[in-house]
Amino acid sequence: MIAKFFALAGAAALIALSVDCGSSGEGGREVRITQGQDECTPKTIEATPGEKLNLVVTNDSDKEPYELEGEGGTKLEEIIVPEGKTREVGFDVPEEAGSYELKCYVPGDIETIIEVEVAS
Amino acid sequence: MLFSLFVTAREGLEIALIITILLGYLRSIDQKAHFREIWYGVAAAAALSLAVGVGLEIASSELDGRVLEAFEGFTMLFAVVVLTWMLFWMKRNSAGISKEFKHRIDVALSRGSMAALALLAFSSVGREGIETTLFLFAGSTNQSSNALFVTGGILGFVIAVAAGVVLYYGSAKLPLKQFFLGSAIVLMVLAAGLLTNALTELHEATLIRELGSRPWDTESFISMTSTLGKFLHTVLGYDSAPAISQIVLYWTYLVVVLGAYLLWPTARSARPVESAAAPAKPESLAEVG
Repeated sequence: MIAKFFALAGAAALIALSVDCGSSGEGGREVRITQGQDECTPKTIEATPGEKLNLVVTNDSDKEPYELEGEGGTKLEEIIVPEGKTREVGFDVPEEAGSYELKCYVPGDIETIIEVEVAS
Repeated sequence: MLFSLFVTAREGLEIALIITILLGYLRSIDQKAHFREIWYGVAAAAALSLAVGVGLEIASSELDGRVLEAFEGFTMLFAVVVLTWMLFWMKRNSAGISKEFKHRIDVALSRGSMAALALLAFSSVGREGIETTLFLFAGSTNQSSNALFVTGGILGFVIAVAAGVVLYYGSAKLPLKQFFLGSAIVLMVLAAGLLTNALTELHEATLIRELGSRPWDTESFISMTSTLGKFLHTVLGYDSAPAISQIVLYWTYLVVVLGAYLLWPTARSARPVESAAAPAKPESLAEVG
């Protein structure tokens, strides 16, 4: 009975671990974003519908926490880039044409909206 | 997912033990007719815990920006304080819980107060339920998948219920002392991770201006945005470039709290808990230590 109990608990933990460590779905065309002292660049990114982008974000300022996240319903995982560091995050461009916003900011300080323009 | 599974399995087992003691004692004194009051109390405690969780979710959904970061950061800190306190409290007082429950059941029955029976179940289960809710909410803010987080939580409760059924109906002994010691250590590691995550949230809320220098960067080995990085972030508070204040806080908590916990006296020496159906019913939760 004890063995069964711990086998059940162990199996559950292993299932959870294997699911947790699945693929992240990142990759795609590399787009570099620089977090500067006063703003983020570029302010516009052109993409095609459904394209995968790999956003390579560098904090080139002396400010923290410098963040990048989706704005206005755009789905992008929030990342925080420490001073002088570079971080990458995958972005799945929506299938619908239009303009999608990413917010690049330091809370209470800088805020730049980056427009992702998706042509039809 | 693993975070929620650990939390609900451990806390759920504590709840299962409480219910087993209450029902087991009523059965032993031939008062099974009063199971109903116990289950009323358990249901009310579950409803309260759920309501607290829903309230926290609604509150956080109404907030944004720095206020939300501050809310999440303080919730994490509060969850760590409550969890740490409960672990120590449980280790110190577990030996007397069973006797106290039985005494309160006897008093309630002698007075004919069925509400007191329900209240006993409600208060004892509700305390654990709210603790579980608080810790789950604090951990959920860093999850990449809500569905997996919920699945892990349900899976943990299933394990706890299975263990509760074994204790009540079965004849086997479960090595609960070892399980609770091991899970307490796991919970402390989770809590240490929550502490450093709380620091990050408060930094984002600009309530903490500086976190200090960052002595290393392991982003190229385990990216924060990879699934493994997110998993380690939630479970261990992993940060590819941790600030010195995060490192100090993490290890200080682990060393001090874990050391104190291991040295913290239990009321009496523990022995394995037997099934409620067996002659030697759970006399204590000393094993919880």
